[in-house]
Amino acid sequence: MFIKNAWYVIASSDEIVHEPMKRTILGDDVVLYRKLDGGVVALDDRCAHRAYPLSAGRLVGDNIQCGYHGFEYNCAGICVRVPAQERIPERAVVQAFPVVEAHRWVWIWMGDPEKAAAVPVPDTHWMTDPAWDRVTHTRLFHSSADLIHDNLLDLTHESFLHQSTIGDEAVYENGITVEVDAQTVSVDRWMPGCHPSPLFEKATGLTLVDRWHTTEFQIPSLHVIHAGVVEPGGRREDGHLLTVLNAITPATENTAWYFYAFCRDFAVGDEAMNELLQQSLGEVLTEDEDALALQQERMETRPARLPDVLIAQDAGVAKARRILARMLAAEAKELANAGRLP
Amino acid sequence: MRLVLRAGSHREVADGALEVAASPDTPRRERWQWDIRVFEAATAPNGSQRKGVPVSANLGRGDGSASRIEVRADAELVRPEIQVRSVGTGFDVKRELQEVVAVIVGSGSALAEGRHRLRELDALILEGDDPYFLRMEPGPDFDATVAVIRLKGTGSIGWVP
Ligand code: FES
Ligand SMILES: [Fe+2]
Repeated sequence: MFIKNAWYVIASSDEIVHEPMKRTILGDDVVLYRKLDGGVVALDDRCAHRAYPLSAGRLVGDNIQCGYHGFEYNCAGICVRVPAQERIPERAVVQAFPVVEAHRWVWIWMGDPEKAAAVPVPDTHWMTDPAWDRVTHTRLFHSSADLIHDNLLDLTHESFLHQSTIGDEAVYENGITVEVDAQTVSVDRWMPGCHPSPLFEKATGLTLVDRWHTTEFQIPSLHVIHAGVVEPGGRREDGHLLTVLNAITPATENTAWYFYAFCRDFAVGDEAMNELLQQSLGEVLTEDEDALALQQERMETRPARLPDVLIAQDAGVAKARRILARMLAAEAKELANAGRLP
Repeated sequence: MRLVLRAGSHREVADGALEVAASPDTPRRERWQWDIRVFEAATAPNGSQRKGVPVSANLGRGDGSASRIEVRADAELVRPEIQVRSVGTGFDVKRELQEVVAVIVGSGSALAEGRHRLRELDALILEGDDPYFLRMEPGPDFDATVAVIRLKGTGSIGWVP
């Protein structure tokens, strides 16, 4: 079960070209392509005729033609040509999904299309702000999106899983402030008078700093981590600032797309720094990816009588799970009231 | 740990009350310790009682009405206390070891630790190793009324997710 009435990142802009591309999200297959004018089209990847994947077909101008018997659909998913006959059946339609391309990511709305216009896509302007630089990664994790949410809301894992790069004991030694609102959970950790993480030391040359990170989970699809270091006693806004965007999109119940962008306001345009960060943060992501795949496996075989043992540090995790569950239940109820099964 | 629970995050529970905070936060997993609920009207009937006698107090609200704050606790583990007070020019809260403190704003707004702006029905919970000291200051508008709730543990207690 997935929360559908929300914007999710489905692809980075550079992945989508004038060729059909298949991507599975929220358990559904979607075909994506770019029109001749650059706009992005997202359609249900299942031909209305006999269910052949449209992504296995080809583009005819801005239309997509099924590769099996040639039904041709326009960008709104309406069949405009049936090669074997003149008449086009009324039901020859595939669902078209609302999409928004913003700051090098493409967002999709898989739920009730009428609700999409009222909800803005989350702000990710650090991806294109010229005062910032960034490195990005796109991964398919072999774990549920929920495990990634847990991972990002409890960054004490950095001290153990990412010992050599971004973690040390300062993370778990300093307490957190967890803030909960109707649809956001944030976890803030302030780490005064300590060493920067090994990666930060390499990147900034600083050895003693005040340091912080704040994960803001805009439920259900985006974690924005604001982090930084400043010389002891300085103000946060004067420090070296990072904004790490983590857009998490369930692919299936036990796999999830992870769109990652590590944005910084220092060493902008420094290619050597980009290379260092691209590589080391790729390794960090691999550490998470491997760990979460193992965790997923263990969770699937764990007896129901052994639920998680959460500790106070898991406050953000617990609160986010509650909000996710509440949103899921609300959507299921709405569908049931409308006489449709979730 | 600090837990800033905004008014929009409280859970509607049976009998028309809002659950502001509870430990454990996820029911039916760990042993039940305590919960804090707000009843819209000061005259609302007492809810179902578990172990221990509920402690309650009326908290003035911004619209001139009063809500009832009720704290239920397992008497073997926790002794709850509620004090309703105005923020005035500010005050300090000292927390003991083995104590969880919750502050709930009834009316106006207050600033906790110089950085958390708390408005009507926002709550701040302190537990665990830090902090043991909390400075409350007035907000920009008229004087704020807050409930300060102390959950004194008979042994070590904390907020449990
Ligand atoms: S399955 Fe697509 S045209 Fe037949
Ligand atoms: Fe990680």
